Amino acid sequence: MARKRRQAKVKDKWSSKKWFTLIAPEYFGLAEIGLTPADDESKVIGRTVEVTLAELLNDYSNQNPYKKFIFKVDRVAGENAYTKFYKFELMRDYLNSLTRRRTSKIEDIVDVTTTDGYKLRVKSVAFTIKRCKSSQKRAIRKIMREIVTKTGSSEKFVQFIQECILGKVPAEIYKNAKLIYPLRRVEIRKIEVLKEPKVEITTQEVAS
Amino acid sequence: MAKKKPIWGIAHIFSSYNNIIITITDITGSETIARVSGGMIVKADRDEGNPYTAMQAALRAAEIAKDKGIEGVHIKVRAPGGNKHTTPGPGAQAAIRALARAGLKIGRIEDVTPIPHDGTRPPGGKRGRRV
Repeated sequence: MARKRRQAKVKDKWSSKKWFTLIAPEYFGLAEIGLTPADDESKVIGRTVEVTLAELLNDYSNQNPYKKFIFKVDRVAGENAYTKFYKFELMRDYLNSLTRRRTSKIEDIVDVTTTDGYKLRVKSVAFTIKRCKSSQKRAIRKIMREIVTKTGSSEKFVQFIQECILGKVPAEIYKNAKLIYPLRRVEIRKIEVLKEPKVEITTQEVAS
Repeated sequence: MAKKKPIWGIAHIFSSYNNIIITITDITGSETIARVSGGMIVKADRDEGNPYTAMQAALRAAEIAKDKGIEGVHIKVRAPGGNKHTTPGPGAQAAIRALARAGLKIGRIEDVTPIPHDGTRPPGGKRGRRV
């Protein structure tokens, strides 16, 4: 008896939940990412979704399937949940496949503030062909840092993200750093949003 | 729920040598849809990590998920990790295959084993575990 009642209750809870459509940020074309169930609108805010670049662009070439975006739900309007950029990450499988024996991995972490006030933490990584000296590592790291901070602080948030992901910044690092030691690959490993401009959010809401 | 787009979920598969836990959630990972563990399938503790248990558990989880309208799942496989072993147990493979067999679409498969950036010392002492 008691068991029956409990089962009925659980089922009710599920059927009372609504499905919200998750929508990517404007600069990703407001694409539909997926659906999430919730019984209350306020519970949707703050949830995070993972999407690969390949799914967003519908283009499975290059390293697109290994590039992962994490979006966070920012506001809910009706059945639509609008998201914001929260994190960019490379898949672990891909990074592990690049790491090899007798080679060096050079990592660098920089905080960058874009021209429109976004504070980002950019983590970049470079792989050499052979094991290099630590003085060379230091020099390469310095170049990485310089290029990331230079491009980051002179561009807008969306532009910067695009350049990082589509490979402009890594290519630039590669071009400069290979003079010090031959490199196999340069990638932006991770981008995290630390701080957003407050004014930006309100204007965005009014606009859309 | 007359949506054209298929509803996707995430199947979190935790697989150690001693147990398997399959949790199917929505795509954000915040709403649990089905959860099945090894102990719900078999009686003996030593059987909880078996491939057969994993298969049964995955079938059961998939059934609940399909009832609730999930059509495909992305998979996140995980081993105990930390200072324990980082390779998934014997049930992981079987569970993934069973999910596919049960009629769920399989999206991307990812390894999400927690890897320490240096943490506590693993058990066993300096000379290792002496049996």
